[in-house]
Amino acid sequence: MNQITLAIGFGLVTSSILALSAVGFTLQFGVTNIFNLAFGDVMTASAFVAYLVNVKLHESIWLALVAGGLAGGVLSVLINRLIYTPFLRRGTALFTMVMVSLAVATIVQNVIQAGVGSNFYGYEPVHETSLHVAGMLLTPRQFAIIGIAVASMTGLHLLLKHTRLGKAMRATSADASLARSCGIECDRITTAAWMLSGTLCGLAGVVLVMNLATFDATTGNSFLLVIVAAAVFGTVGKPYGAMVGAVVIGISSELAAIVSPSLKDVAAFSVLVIVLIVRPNGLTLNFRIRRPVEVTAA
Amino acid sequence: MSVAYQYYTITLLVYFGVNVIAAWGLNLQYGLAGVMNFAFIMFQSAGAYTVAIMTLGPYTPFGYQHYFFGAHLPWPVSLLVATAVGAVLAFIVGSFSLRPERRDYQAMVMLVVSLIAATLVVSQVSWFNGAGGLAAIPKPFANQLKNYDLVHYGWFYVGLTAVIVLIVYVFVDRITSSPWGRRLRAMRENPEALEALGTNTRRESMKVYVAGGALASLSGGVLVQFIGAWSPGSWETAETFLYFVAIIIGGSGNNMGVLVGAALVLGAFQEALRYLPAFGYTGLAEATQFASLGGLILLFLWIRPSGLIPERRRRYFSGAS
Amino acid sequence: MRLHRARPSAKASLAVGLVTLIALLVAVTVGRAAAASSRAKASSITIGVLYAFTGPNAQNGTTGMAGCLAGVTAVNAEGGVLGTTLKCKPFDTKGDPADAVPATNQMLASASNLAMVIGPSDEAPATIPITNAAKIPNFATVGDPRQDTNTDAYFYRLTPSDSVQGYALGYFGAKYGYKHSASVFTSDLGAQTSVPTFKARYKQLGGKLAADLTLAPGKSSYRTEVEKVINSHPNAIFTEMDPQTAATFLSEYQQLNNNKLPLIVTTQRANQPDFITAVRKAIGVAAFKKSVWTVAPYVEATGLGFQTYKKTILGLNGKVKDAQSYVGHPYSTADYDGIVIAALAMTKANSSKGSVYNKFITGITSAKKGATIVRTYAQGVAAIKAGKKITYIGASGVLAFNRYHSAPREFALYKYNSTTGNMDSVKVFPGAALLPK
Repeated sequence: MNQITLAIGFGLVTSSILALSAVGFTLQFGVTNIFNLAFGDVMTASAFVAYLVNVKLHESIWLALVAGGLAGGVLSVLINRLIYTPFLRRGTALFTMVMVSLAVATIVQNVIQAGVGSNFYGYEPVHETSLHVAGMLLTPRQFAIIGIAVASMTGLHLLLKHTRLGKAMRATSADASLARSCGIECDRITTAAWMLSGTLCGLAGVVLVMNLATFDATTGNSFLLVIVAAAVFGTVGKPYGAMVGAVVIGISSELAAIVSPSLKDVAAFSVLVIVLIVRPNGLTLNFRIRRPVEVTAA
Repeated sequence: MSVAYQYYTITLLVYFGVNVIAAWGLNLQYGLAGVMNFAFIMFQSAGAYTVAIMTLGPYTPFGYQHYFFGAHLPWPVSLLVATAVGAVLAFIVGSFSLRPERRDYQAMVMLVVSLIAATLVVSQVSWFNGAGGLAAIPKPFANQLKNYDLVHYGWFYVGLTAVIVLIVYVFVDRITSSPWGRRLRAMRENPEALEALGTNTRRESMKVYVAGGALASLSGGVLVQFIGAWSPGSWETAETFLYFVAIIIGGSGNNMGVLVGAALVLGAFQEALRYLPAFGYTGLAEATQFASLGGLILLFLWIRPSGLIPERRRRYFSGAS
Repeated sequence: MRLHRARPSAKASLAVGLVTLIALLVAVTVGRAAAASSRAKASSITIGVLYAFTGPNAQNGTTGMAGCLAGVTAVNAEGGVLGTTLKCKPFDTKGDPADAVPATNQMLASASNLAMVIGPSDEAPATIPITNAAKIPNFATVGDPRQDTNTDAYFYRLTPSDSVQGYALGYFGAKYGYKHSASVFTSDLGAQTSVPTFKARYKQLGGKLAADLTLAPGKSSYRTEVEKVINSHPNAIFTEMDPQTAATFLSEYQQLNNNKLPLIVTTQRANQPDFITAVRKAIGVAAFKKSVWTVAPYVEATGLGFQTYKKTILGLNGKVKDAQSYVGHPYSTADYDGIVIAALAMTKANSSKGSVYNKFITGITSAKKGATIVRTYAQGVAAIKAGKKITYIGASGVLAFNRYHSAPREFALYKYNSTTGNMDSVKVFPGAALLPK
């Protein structure tokens, strides 16, 4: 067996998990302009919802996955409605919104910790034998994870490219006030964007935990920065950058692990930094320092 | 005041001084010039590690912790070296992370750089003792002041910190009110216009990035000589965002506002929450306290979105609306 | 808002002068006044529990609090110390030195009648000097070898050093026939402190490392690393990892190795309930029972001392979440013993003042000629009142402090007991053989 093709196969699993979350993050940031540091903690919350369904209600992991995805969507919409929208309506600068989201992240993480304590949790384990496919060695579940990621990405692509909602989202992300004057209801579009990106966030949380085998109240948050790193490749409306970022990080970290396991992230991040410096126009973030973009309809 | 309360007060004052120095440094970068340094905590840590190895003495392989080089530099030479290291590190990091045109883009490069640095420091044990970090870092003038007890020495250290805070204040205040400060503000508000007027904005950003990095590093040096230990747990990326919160809640761009913000967010908020009564099972009260910190931040951002002491409106820009 | 309108240079020099003056005044006057302070008499004696209670290391706090509550309950059941009851108060270090220092000072300032501190863990190098200067006896379960030659008079270590843990692991591996093994440790402090002595002892006794990996903890995948280890065909894996990394690594090992695990020999980290729950669930109870062994400090797990601890901790259900899981826990057991030892020292010294009772602490557990062996607080108090010399042997067994205030212990091999859900010791190793000559 070739160590390199094996590592690439393993990297694809990591990439799939990362792609779901990074695309969710970049979509959220692109459409709503909120650099949401609470993203990781919403992942944790969704993973716990899936835990309830899978372990307490004894339902299948796939139903739990759906529940986790929905929970992520609903929680994201709620956070937006209850906290972010009121702040934006007050004219809070977009960079200050980063700090608002940091506060939300602190609250979500510690509310979870207050509820579940400092213990570790895990879904009902399955013991599957790995299959050899094209030089890779993966379990059926891992193939499923890759499948879910590919399906989500394709679905998102079709949605953004070919539906009214997708076009409206892209228009809103490009220029909210122009979109509004063209008759797009930004409020509804924003809610839809939070639901969609939140669902990706929830799915990513559950899939991450399936892969980790165990998790606690801080798990999602500890992956946030890697997700952000992958997401910075992304341009809104075209989340392909984030997908590429996820694949780069996933595969290069597994390849680096062949040489030096303790430095696997350093290798992946260094690749990112180089790409960011060499191709600085690959991404569109949008912090305006002073003037807020009004995301909501008046 | 009991000895314990005095020492507690001393700790809070030293931390306040350290946080103010660091927050002023970040305020130069972000508040004044608009450079979003998402690697900020890395610079504070660089200062802490520098002072640690510059005071622990030459490295011997027989010691119980690993580091490289090592010297016995006296105060304040150790701090000056740390400041210089912070400046050099900022120059190196800035030389590539300030290359992208957009500020947010630069911030992302810096964020990833600080992730790399954190991973390297943990895995390269021979640098700064890996995850264990460095301990037993000597305190300045400890030999000369041998007969001082902890509290006496503590007040002495408060005095040392106060002197440094003052010097730093003079430095940042001069920058803020200088023509260069005006240019930086103009760059923050409208970099394209400034560029059109013939200013090289990347060079201006680099200068302020180096100045802020040096101050951050200095603050780390002052802190580490007080607590005597430093490890990767002390400089997680989340701390960078807390410094931003302090600046924004206090009043971005205003040195006095930033001072108040540092006192509140990095001091008073956290300390006040410690006094909430314990209840329920183990950890519940602590998690509630931590969540309340988030609540307090939200509250202040809601009440005063532009900060407690906002930047003075100046005639030479049309103002933020 | 601007405070000054003067020219910068004049303003600067004025300000520098003022602050220097103030600083000096403060240093001299307030510092001197500090000597004349006193503490009001409080109704109960406080034990500060100084650990991380939030964040990724929150388990440390939960464990410390469980041990503290057990100790306090046991002592209070016998009427407390010198007629005063004890209570536990948590102080959150958040797991890092920079947050631990203010937390420690806040504890010293605010806790009324603070007589003793337990904790913290990796952040101890920053806090020990503070508790020591405040003359508060400080008991901890920290394994960091930097405390091997501790000289702080008020600091006591209740568990063996991680360097000894490493020797024990190496001794077991080489002496019990696992001479072709893999070494897989995470890069965090708790794991790395055991590595040098493990490798030294293992190789000295003829062991060969077929693979030698350091993992970055908490990653979402270790498949490449697992594949590397599998390809080296080890007959055992020597390891220490946090629960999450272990669960990920070992479940991936099963996936890539036809659901089979080699023998996994790990440290006392794996005797802790959070590790057992997480990893047992991830790899299945049967695999856990068959493949995960630990080499850890020996906890007697029989006898009156242990039974008293067990009864007390199980009686705390409600106050302590999942109390059963702390029955065999090496750290909560040690913290319990620490409190009983301190309470007996206070009784002997007839004072709960740290500076007074501190010098009685080592005498409580040291072996002496003609001493009465006591195994509970009640026995100890009775013997002290009868004027006898005592040697306390508690829930964790013999805890005699050496001149560095460390309590070396024997090490034992532990295997999983599926009835109780704890790790049970199955064999004690001869103490002297573990260490190199």
